[in-house]
Amino acid sequence: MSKIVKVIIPIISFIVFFTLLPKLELNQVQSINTKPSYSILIPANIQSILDKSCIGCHSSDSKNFKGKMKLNLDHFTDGKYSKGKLIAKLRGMAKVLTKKSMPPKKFRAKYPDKVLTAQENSVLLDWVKVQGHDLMTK
Amino acid sequence: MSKRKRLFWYSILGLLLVIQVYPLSKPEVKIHNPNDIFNHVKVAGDVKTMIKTACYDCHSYEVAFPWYSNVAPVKWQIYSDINDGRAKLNFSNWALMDKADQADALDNIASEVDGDDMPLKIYPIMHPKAKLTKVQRKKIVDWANNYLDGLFDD
Ligand code: HEC
Ligand code: HEC
Repeated sequence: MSKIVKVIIPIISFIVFFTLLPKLELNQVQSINTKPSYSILIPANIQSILDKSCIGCHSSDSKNFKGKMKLNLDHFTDGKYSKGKLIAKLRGMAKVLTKKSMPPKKFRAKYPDKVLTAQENSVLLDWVKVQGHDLMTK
Repeated sequence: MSKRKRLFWYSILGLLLVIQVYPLSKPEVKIHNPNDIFNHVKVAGDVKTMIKTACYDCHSYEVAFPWYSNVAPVKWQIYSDINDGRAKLNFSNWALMDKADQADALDNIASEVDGDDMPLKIYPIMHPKAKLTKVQRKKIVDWANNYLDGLFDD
């Protein structure tokens, strides 16, 4: 009987360990951008949508490390994103806007007033698509 | 050991056996992938090797299933990682993506590898060769960023 225990306990610990493991955050390295160049003009109506729903996590001042690394909207205008990076970020934004997955679910639940309205979502989505297209053909 | 304890352990063993037959379709595997990234771009040998060993099991159709991937409940986790991983990025479908999607993918590869978020933490434990050093990670990040910028050089 104790043999079974000796086998089962490791199996269960093994499974528990592997389920928890991906949740651990280990060391992070700061990324450096290459080739500074392009910048985008953000019109006032778009800026106010971004200010309301996105800037809090996606600017240089943000305390949300992961959000800031993935998308820093300050770099749209300060020339720190290369043309390729800008096109990549715009496509990434188009994807999350299409899926309606930003701001993150928890944040939407906590701050319902910062959720994008359907109108804002479509205005922003159209804008990022046009910007992406313009850059690609520049 | 008391009768109750014995019963307890036998039930656990029984449960482990029962879950083995729970049906679950295995993610598709394909050997020939004409649209694979490495059929379309020249990539320095070591970067190619790193990506193939550290990413392909979850981000391509060329999956090598180890023996334990057939054993529930480990199997459930592995299949779902492969399905989720492929949905986000599939190197076997690279040439089917438009340039902006490739740019988005390269940008995500750079940030995931830079932040040491990929490969998933669990993976190198079973695949020690997939453990990337800081130097190796930087090589992948630089490759992804250069490739990304090169896509739009005119
Ligand atoms: C509460 C903080 C928060 C807010 C507000 C927020 N984001 Fe995010 N965003 C994040 C985090 C965290 C990530 C990284 C998620 C990850 O990688 O799992 C992220 C990732 C992203 C990404 C990259 C997705 C990917 O996987 O490539 C895009 C694009 C994005 N956000 C756009 C937006 C837009 C557009 C808005 C406003 C409508 C917004 N975010 C609002 C926190 C936020
Ligand atoms: C054990 C399976 C596994 C391995 C190995 C793996 N990944 Fe992933 N990857 C996933 C899963 C699952 C997801 C989707 C869930 C998530 O984003 O965490 C994912 C998501 C991603 C994403 C999309 C992230 C986003 O938020 O848009 C990128 C990019 C990525 N992986 C790159 C890589 C690279 C590069 C490697 C190799 C260095 C790698 N992965 C190795 C499982 C894996």
